[in-house]
Amino acid sequence: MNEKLIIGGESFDSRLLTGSGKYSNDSIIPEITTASGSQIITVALRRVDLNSHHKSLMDYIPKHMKLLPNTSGARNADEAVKIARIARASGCGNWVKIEVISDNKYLLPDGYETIKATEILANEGFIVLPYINGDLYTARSLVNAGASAVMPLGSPIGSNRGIKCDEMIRILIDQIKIPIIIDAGIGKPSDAALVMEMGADACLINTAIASSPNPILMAKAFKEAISAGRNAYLAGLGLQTNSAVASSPLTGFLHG
Amino acid sequence: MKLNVNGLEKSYDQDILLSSLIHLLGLNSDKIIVQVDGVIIKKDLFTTFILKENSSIEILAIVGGGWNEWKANNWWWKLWF
Repeated sequence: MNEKLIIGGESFDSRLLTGSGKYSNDSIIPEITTASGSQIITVALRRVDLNSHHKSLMDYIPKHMKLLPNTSGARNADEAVKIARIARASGCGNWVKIEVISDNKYLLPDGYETIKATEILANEGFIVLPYINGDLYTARSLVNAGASAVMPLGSPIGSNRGIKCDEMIRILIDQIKIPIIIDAGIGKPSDAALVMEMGADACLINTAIASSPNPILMAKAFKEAISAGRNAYLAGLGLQTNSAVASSPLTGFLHG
Repeated sequence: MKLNVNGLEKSYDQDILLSSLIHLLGLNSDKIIVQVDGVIIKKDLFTTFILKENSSIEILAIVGGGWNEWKANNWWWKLWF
């Protein structure tokens, strides 16, 4: 049994992807990556503040980690493509997480524009991981467009509300044959364990770790939950029944 | 000569190389990406690229996060496209 996560031809031992945002200080990131065991981390692009010379985020990201630049800020396919090209030119490699969002309240992804951006970037040799709603037709179109994985949301970005789309995720797991990485909304380790038990291939966690009072311990908790959920999926869950089924013999010696 | 760097007006006495500008701004060229008048400049051209009067220069870096950080820090984005 191959227990590696394989995306774009590369294999990973960890099924936990981490984000790099929302930490009070980037210096905590090495400890987060160690505690989580994560091998893939998302990053973003930003204009340099010429009046404030902080250390670069890149100084804190361990060299072995795969960078996954996102296209946050893109409101249509053209903008997402531009950001992806800039990220590649900056030395981030050819992986990109496509986020096309024009809804400012719920930050829900635009499926149509996401498909367009994915097709362009996949044809340019990018390994494209699009952030999507849990919609089967969108996911199928992304597979045809050349996506290397799909990243359905559990609930709105940064909400920590958990898995509100579990039935849609179950359908994707059943029907889509590229890796399914559950993205936004996972709020606690049990949420991650739930989708991993269902057969999701990986989870991307940022806010739930970064907003914990003890992010390092929370990173470890997510690592363990994702591992537990994956093992449960591989083991196979027992059958559910509507009535009790005794675990111990009821026909004992007391009643002859 | 005058330049616009990340939205700020900068003045220099003479023509200036892109690598010199980056040095004067105290930035590490390995950790930034530069766009001059809408064109991404490859790092190996920094030392030979001479900036022109009134050039618009955007200097970007890799940072943490996604949408929440974007909203707080990237008000300039629409100006760039």
